[in-house]
Amino acid sequence: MAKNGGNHQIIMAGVGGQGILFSTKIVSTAAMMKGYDVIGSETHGMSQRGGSVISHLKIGDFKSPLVRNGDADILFTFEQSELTRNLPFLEKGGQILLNANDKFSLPDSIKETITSQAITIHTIDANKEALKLKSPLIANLVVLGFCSSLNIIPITGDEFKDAIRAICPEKFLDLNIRAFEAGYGTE
Amino acid sequence: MTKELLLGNAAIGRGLIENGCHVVTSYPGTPSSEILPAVVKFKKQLDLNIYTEWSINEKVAFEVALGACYTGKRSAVIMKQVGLNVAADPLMSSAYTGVPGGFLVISADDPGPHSSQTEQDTRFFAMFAKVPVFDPSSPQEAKDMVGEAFELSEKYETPVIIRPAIRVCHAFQTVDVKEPRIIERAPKFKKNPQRWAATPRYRLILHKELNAKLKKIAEEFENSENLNYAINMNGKGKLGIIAGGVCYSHVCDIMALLGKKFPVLKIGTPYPFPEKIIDDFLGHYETVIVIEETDSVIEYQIRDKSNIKGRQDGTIPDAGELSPEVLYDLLVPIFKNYTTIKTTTTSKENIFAKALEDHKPPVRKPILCPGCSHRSSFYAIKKAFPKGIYPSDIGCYTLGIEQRAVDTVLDMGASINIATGLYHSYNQDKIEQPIISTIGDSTFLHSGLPSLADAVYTDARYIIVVLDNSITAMTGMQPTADSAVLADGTKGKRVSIEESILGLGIKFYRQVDPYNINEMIKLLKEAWEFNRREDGGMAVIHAMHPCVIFSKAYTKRSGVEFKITEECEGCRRCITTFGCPALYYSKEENKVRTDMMLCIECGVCRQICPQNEGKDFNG
Repeated sequence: MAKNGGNHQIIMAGVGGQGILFSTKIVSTAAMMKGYDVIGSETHGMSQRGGSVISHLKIGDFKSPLVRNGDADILFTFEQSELTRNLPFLEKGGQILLNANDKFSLPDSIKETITSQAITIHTIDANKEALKLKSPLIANLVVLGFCSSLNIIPITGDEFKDAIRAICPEKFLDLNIRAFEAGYGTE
Repeated sequence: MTKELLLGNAAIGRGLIENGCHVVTSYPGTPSSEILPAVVKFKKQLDLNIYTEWSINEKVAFEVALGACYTGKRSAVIMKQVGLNVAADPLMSSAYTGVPGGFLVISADDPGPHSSQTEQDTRFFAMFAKVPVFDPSSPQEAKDMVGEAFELSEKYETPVIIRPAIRVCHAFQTVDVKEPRIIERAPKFKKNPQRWAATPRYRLILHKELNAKLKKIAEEFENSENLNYAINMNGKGKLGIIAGGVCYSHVCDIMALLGKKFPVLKIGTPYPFPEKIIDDFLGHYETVIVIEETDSVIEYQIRDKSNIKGRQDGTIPDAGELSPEVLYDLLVPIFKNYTTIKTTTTSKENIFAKALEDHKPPVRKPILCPGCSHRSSFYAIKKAFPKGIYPSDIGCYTLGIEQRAVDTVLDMGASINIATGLYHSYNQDKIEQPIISTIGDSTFLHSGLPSLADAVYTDARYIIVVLDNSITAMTGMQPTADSAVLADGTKGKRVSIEESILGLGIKFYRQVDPYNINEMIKLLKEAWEFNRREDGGMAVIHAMHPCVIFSKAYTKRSGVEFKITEECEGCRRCITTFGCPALYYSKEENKVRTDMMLCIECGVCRQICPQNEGKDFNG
C-alpha cells in the first residue's frame, strides 16, 4: 500500500447506466475524507445508455486529471466486455477488479500478457449479488465492497461506508450499504 | 476554508458565487453545461439572490448578461467555444465600449474534439476581440481565476474571458471552498450615449482607449506571480518549457513520473501577452518547447521564434488533444537529448496495445438510445423519401447518420438554411427534389426561427421535421422555453413552438407521435404533396415524444422478453434499417431477439417487421 509513495492511479470502466460516476465519487470522497488530495476526470456528453464510460481517479500528489496508458495501478471493470479495451491503462504489477460471471474468459494471448505483467485479476459476479438484493443497478456498490475487502486501496470498509453515507440520497442509502456489505463478504 | 470534491464546472460555478456575481446566463453545450446548474445549486443551498437563465442562444445570453452589467452589477455568460461564434457580434463590440461592472465570458474549449464541430481556440477569439483571457490548468485554478478576472474586469472596465478546456471542465478535484461573497449593488444605469451607443467617430476613440488598457493589463500580467510563473528555474540551461492550461498539469505529472525537473514557465494569461516574463525565460535556455491547447496562441505571439519548438516546426501535433500519452511520447525523446531517462514505455510500446491488435475490443459507436423517438422519425423519413436529401442539425439526432437519414450537419440551426439553399438551387433548374430537414426543439428555438422566416419569405418548398423530445437532451436535460421551466426550476412563460411556427405563416403544420410509424409516413407524403401544390408552401411536421432518459421510460419496463413477432425468419430488417441497440441476431435460432437490459418496450420494431405487415399496433 505504501507503493508509489501512497499515490494511486485508478481507472473505472463500464457502460452507461452502471453508476461509474457514482462509484468514482464514493472512492474520491472517501479518499478526500481521509485527507488525501484527489483529482480525476469524468466522461460527459455523447455517453448514452449502453455506451462506454470511463473515469480517471488519482489519489495523492498529482496535477493532471488523466491517467496515462501504462500508469494505472488499479482498473475497475464494471462490465466484463469493457475489460480488454482498458487493459492498456495498467502498469506492471497492477490489479484488476472485474465484475464478471463464471462464463467469462479471455483469449489465451491476453491471459499470457496479463501474467507476464504480474497483474492480478480479482473477479466477482456482482450482478448476481445485486440481483439477490433485487436491484441490478446496484452492482457497482458490490464491486466497491469487494475492493475494500481486498485491501488494495488505503480506505477501510468503515471509511467507505462513511463516504457512501455522505453522498448517497437517504432513499437509497440502506440498499447501497447492504450492497457494499454483500461485496465485502464475498471472495 | 474547507475542502470539497468539485467538478471543474462546479468549481467555476462556486467561484462565481464566492465573488459576488449577481447575474449568470448560459446556453448549454459540452463541455460547459454543468456550470450554470452548479450556480443554481449553490444559490439554493446558500439562499443567495442570483439571477440565473438558460437563454435562447449564446448571443442572447451574452447580451442579457451584458445588459445586467450595464447597471453596475457583476455578471457572467457561459457557453461552449462554438457558442462564442454565435455571440461573436456582442463580444467584438463590447470590447470597445467596455463594461461598468464586472463582466466575465466563460467559453469552454473542446480539444479532441470530443463533442464539437471544431477544435477552435477561444484564446484566439480573445486576441481577435482584444479582450484579456485566463487559461486555467485545474478546477482549483479555474475557481481562483474567477475572482482575479472579476477584479481585472472592474479595474479596467473590460470584458474578461475565462477559457477552461474540457479537461478542466470535466476534471474533478479536492478544491478549497470559501464562503460566498455578497456584494450589495443597487442597479443604476448611468446614461452615457457616447459610450453605450457610440457612433463610428467615438468608436475610434474607444479603440484607442482599449489599446491603452491592454498595454496596462499586459504589464499587470507580467508582474502577477499567481498567473504567470516559472518552476524549476536554476540559472541558464539548455532546455525550458512554456506551458498553458491543462497541458501544464500533464507536463508536471510526466516530469514527476520520470523523476526529472525541467524548468517550466506556466502562462495563465496568454493575452494580452506577458511579453517581458516570456522574453526573460527565453533568454535563459537554448531551446524552449511551447505546449498549449488547442492552437498556437502563445507561440504565435513570441517574436523571436529561432529557439522555439512547437506546432510551427512540427514538434507538437497541429490537431487533436494533447493527452498525457501524446505529450509523454513526444517529450521523452526530447528529454533524452539532455538527460538519461530510465526505462520508459511509450504508447507504441504498450504491451497490451500490442496484444490487443489481434483481439480488437468491439467499437461502441455513439448511437441513439433504445426507444429513442428520433430513430422512429428517421425510419419514417427514409421510408417516405428514400431519395430525399436530409439536412440535419446539432443534437442527439445528429446520430441519425447511422440510419443514413442525416446528410449535413454544420452548426446550430443550419439544417433549415441549408435546406432552403438546396431547394432554391434545385428549383432554379426546375427539378423536384424532396428535401427533409430535421431539427430539435431547443435548436429550433436557438436559431431555427429566423431561418424558418427566411424559408417562408422566399417561398421555399420543403419539409421540416421538428424532432421535439421536450428537453435539451444531449447536453444533459436543460429545459427549453417551450416547457416554461426556468434554469432554477421556477416557472417562466411558455414560448410555444407550435404557435411560433404558425405565427411565421406555416400553412401545413401537423403534429405526430413518431412511435406511430405509419401515421408519420402518411403525413410526410401529404407534406410533400403540399410542397408541390401551386398554393402550397413550406411544410412542418412536429414530431413529439419525450426523451426516454428525461421521462425515465426505461424504469417502467415489464422485464418480460419483448417479441417482435412469433414468426421471425431472421431477415434482420429491423436491425439493418431501424438499428435499435436492444435488438440482436441469434445465429443458433436464426431469429432476432431482444436484450431486455436495454429494451424499453416502445414497440416500434413490431411495426416495421415484414411479418407484421397489415397488423395495426396503434389501434
